[in-house]
Amino acid sequence: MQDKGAPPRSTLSGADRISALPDGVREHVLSFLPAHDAVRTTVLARSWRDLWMRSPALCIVGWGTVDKFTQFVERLLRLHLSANGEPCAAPMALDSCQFHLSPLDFNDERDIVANKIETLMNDWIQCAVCCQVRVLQFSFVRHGPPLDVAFLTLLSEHLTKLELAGVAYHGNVDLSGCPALQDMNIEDCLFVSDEIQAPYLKHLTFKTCGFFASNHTLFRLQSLISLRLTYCYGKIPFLASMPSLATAIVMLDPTDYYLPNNDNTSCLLLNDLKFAQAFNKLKTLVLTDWFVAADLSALIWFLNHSPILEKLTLQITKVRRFKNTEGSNKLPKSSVVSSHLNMVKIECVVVDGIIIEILKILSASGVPLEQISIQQSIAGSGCEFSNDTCYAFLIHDTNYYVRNMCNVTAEAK
Amino acid sequence: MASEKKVVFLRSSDGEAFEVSEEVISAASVTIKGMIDEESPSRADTAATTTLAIPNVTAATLSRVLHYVNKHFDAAAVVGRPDDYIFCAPGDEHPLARFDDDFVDVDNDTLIDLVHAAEYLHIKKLFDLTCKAVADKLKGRTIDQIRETFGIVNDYTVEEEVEVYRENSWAF
Repeated sequence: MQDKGAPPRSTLSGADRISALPDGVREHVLSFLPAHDAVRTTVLARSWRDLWMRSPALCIVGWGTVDKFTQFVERLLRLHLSANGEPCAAPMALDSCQFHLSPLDFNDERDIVANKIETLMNDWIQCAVCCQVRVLQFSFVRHGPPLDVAFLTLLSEHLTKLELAGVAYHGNVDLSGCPALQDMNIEDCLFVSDEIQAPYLKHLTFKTCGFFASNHTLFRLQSLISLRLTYCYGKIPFLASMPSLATAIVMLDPTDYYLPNNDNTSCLLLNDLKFAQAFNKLKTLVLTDWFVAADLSALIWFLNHSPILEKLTLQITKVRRFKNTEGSNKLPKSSVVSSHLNMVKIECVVVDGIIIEILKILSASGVPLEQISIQQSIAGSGCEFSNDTCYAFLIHDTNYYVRNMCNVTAEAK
Repeated sequence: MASEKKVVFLRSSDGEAFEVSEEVISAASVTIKGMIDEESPSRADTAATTTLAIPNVTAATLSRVLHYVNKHFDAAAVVGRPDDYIFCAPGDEHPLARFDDDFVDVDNDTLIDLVHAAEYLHIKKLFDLTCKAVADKLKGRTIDQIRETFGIVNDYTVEEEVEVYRENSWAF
């Protein structure tokens, strides 16, 4: 057992067991180290010399002065590039290349750091792409404006995942040159882009991002399976057709911060109800105030386009004057309402004309009245959700939003 | 054939046998799954349980490894929480993160033993976890501190050391 007061050596045997690990194992260890620490291990002993060069991952973290650091990064990437460029050697691709930069890690003023990195980062990224990088991360912890980047028109057969944080991009994002790119994770970034195009992308997350083009940014993501768009601001993006989309979480209201765990979720959103296809997988739907804003056509529309809907919750938190627009609230003759619909819950402040109108529509849709529960609540209490709810918004227009909620545990009382 | 849970015994290098669910260990270890698959034709019609020799791993290490494996690969714990990031709430940490941190909070020798075992048994998650833990012990340390911590003997000659520092001065 260890002597008390001994130096912080926890190798009981005193033998150098770490150097005895096979090269492949030590290379794997080095891939978890910040790149400058990894390179420095070369001076430990002979068996460590240049070992880091064969490590398939680079994690670049700021250190020293920004001038020293940028020289370091250039040297590092050049060494990787030339190793790959050797005609006889099998190309040693980079599994991952991560940049995690914060001005606080440098011995210079923040502005100097930001300016210097901004001028060089595009070259670094291109260099990483030349090293056939598969996972590329660039995050900048900003204390001022985000870094302007210019590399979002990438060409790479190898890139599978791209993560960005703390950058701004002006111009159209075009990732159609990256056929293997399936995952993209964007956080705290600004986009002045008319269009974001990534035809092969399957999973996309935008978190606390701003969209500031003169028009709504158009997302063209034909292969997308899951979309998460949370706490975004600026002009809400328009989503072009996403035929494979299975899950979407869209939270645009910054006051709604709650996002629980949930699998088995199926909701779909589209920017214009008129062009929307059926919600073929939607089982649970929550509609909030917006759906009574004009008339009840949105409710009717959902009833007719959700063939396996099981639970429907309508929340009306405000008392409003209801315009009696008899004609527009008729169900189309060919309407087919889900035969699975077995629970309808209406939460309202008062039972008024609009509730009667909703009941008429539901009844005309073939929903038995005994499956409908009405709950009156106190005005202003807001909406609370139980732990296993999952919801999403859609800004349809500035005045409209849809809230789809999946797997609500609605208890009819 | 049988519906009851099959178990296998793993015999450590120092002769101690450990019981583990065949399903769990097969999901965890590529190496042991290979051994079981090789064995299975011969034991299909016998009720005898299989004992596999794990010659490279001591009892102390093997019991730690199995503790990890039972936490991470028991179907009951794994089902229902896929690694699908999209449904993880922001700030949600992996439910086993705390367990993992404690698991690798051990002395260097034990940690290196675990690295060896994870590599030999081909348990990718454990291999990554332990290698990362080794990296954490190297991170931010000076060369002398690292040599001290791991007992690494500097076998460069003075001239060589000057040369290797000069060559790599760009990283210091």
